[in-house]
Amino acid sequence: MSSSPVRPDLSPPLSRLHEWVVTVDHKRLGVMYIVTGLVFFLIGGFEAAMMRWQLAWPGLDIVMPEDFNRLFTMHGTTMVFLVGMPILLGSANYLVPLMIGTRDMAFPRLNAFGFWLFFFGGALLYFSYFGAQGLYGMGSAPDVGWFAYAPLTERTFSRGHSTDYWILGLMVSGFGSIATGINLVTTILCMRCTGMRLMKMPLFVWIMLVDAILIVVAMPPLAAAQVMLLFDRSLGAHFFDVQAGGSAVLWQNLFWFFGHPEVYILILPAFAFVSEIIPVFSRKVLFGYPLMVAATVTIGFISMGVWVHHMFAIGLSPAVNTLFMASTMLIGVPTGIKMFNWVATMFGGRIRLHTPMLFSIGFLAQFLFGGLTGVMLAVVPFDWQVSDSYFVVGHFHYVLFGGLIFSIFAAIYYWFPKVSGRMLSEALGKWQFWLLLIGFNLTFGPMHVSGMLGMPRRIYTYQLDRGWEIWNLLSSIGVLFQALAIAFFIWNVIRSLQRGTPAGDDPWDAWTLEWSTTSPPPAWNFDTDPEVRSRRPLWDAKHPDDPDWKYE
Amino acid sequence: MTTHDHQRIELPAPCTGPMLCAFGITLGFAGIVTSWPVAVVGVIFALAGGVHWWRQVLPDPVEITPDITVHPTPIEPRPERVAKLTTHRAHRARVPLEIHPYSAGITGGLIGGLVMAAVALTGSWLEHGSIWFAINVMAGTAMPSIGDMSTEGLLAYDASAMMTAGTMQLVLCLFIGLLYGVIMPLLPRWPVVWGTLIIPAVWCGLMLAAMSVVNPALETHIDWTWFIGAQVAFGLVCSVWVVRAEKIDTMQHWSYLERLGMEAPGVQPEEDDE
Ligand SMILES: [Cu+2]
Repeated sequence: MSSSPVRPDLSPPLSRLHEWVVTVDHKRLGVMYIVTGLVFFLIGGFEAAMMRWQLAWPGLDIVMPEDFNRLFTMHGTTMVFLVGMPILLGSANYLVPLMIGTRDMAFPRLNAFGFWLFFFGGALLYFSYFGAQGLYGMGSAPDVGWFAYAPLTERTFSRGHSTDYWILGLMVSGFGSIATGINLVTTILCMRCTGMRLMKMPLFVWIMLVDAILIVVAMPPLAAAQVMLLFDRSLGAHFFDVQAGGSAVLWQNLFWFFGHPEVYILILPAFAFVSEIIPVFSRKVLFGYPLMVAATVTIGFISMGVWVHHMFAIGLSPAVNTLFMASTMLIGVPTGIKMFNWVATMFGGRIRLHTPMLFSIGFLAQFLFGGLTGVMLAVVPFDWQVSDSYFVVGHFHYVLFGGLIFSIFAAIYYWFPKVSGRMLSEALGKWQFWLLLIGFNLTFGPMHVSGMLGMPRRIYTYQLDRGWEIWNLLSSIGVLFQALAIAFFIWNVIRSLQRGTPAGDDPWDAWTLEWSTTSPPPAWNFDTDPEVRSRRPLWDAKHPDDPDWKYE
Repeated sequence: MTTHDHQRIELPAPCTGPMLCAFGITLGFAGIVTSWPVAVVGVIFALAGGVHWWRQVLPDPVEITPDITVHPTPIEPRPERVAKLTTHRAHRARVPLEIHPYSAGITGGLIGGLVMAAVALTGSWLEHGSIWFAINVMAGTAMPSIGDMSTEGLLAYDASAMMTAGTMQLVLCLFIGLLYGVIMPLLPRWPVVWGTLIIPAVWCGLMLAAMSVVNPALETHIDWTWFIGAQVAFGLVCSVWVVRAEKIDTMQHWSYLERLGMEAPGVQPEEDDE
């Protein structure tokens, strides 16, 4: 017998919608996460474009100063919490059960709960644009920066409810992330198919395991800090209220104890994507799998012990600064190991330069650049010179845009055929890649220069005589290229969904279990429970005379 | 029931509870920034969603059995093979793999030194009518007193100058010959061209530039044409001598036992059949 979620009493579009709303299927939830994340990506990108327009030349007033503060706050918050997080949770949701050969996540309903908390949390945050102003006439969207430093967030300085919206929206979506993190850890540890020992898991799954553990460890301190701030603002507590004996540094410690692991929570999925894509498009096994696992776990540990590098400029003791400088540099070691292993995977391979591989190579180059400026910033005296300048903005956009977003596009071009059953256009994809590559570097490369010339981040405008004009103009021109690239992407998705080439089950001749089922996979994923003997089960099936398990 | 259905597939049933519950929780928090009725509605939603969810999983989870309608295409074995990495002896080697014996460099240097001296003395005799001129000028690099000599003095035999120039020539030729022996296998394409033309050209250029500092007085006496000729003669003889010597293996690919000189079955590399 069978029962289907389709409600016969609803009209077809409504019953379709109903199917998605009530679903507990990890694949549908994954798609919902990613689509929501991409919509927020467009919103956050629009906010960034407005800021670049305002800063394109000295003395412009395209937006009001107070709107500018909202723009950079909402841009940062959106990109970290409503773009990076859902896309990482969505892709883990979609791919982990398929890659480990199971039918769904360990807690399917908790999975749906996690998604909806994220979704409504994001909606609540954006509702501030209407709600905060309409009801109290004070403020609209949050304007305290994405890390919301005390005491600016205290009621004395932030009247109205905009900061409360920031707290509540992120807290609700953070609860969702914690739920999904727990779900992922349980699924990966308990639901693997026959033969898939820990060291036979695809590296993607290993990285997502470490990522989920980091989420479970790092998100609760943020929620706790936000509750404390809410107490300050609503219940008369004084945790961060400096005039009443509170501590602004306490907020910084609590926030960055979440904030730095968060950076790795966001970038680890990028590592996961390219660790699957580069081998398939180099036609070689991933170089140094055990070392990659070790490096991932090491990054997980060290990333929880470096947060003070965000606070070098606040006047802590030299001993503390030196300790965290050392730990920050230490994290470059496992990250460097990964870089070398990806390059070694490509070395001597039969490289196919399809769009997913192009984006992966773009990731390698740009993430390397962002990582190296990160090592520069880890040096305390250098950090003192450029702290809170555009150099820092350039640095972390190379990591999160040049790194993460490029790898996300690599992943979309790679797994879209599996999710939709249709290929994305290679020609449009290459247009998108080159335009985005040019636009990205044009926007964020010059920021290192304007930062070195002393331009502080978050300023609304600047004077003509600082020598910053040309660098800001270049940055703003880059946005046009990026916007064009994103237009190509949207067009590509729409066109391919309607009349893209049918993908077949395994369009890239890949090796992990998700390619052994249909595209898109059925609700039950696999007709029979898979059994694996190596890290590349499909290789074994395609080459029975020369299987991988003989070598592993 | 289809023939492919080896096992009974059960999936969790779709459920409105989680979404309702999440919506209620969000509304509940939103009450803080709007008004308390919003929070009350939120709590009601959250409870309703929670109860619905609870009843879906307890006492027994509600499950559905899907109609299995699609099947993946079976995976066929592929004809293409893996290109295995064959470790050639040049893989990760320190170049050069083979070198000339050091003795070839030393003897090459000595013979080259003799030829070089012959060229220099010939030039000296043709230009100044005395072979001692070249010897005295060479010794001047180490003996400042020679810089003060008159032209007649430079043309005459001087025992200490002879000793100095001879020692210098011997030592320099030994070391430069050894250097030739070491670097010849590293030079690309035509090592003899490098040894005859390029290295002497670099050396002469260096001397030309440095002589005014090393010994300004002597700079006026040196005959650059014959000087260069003598260097080229040395380079030609020495590099040809070195290159003609048989190359020997650097042992870097030898096993420890081979390097120890053990002789046992399996220790020595098999001779290639080809
Ligand atoms: Cu950090």
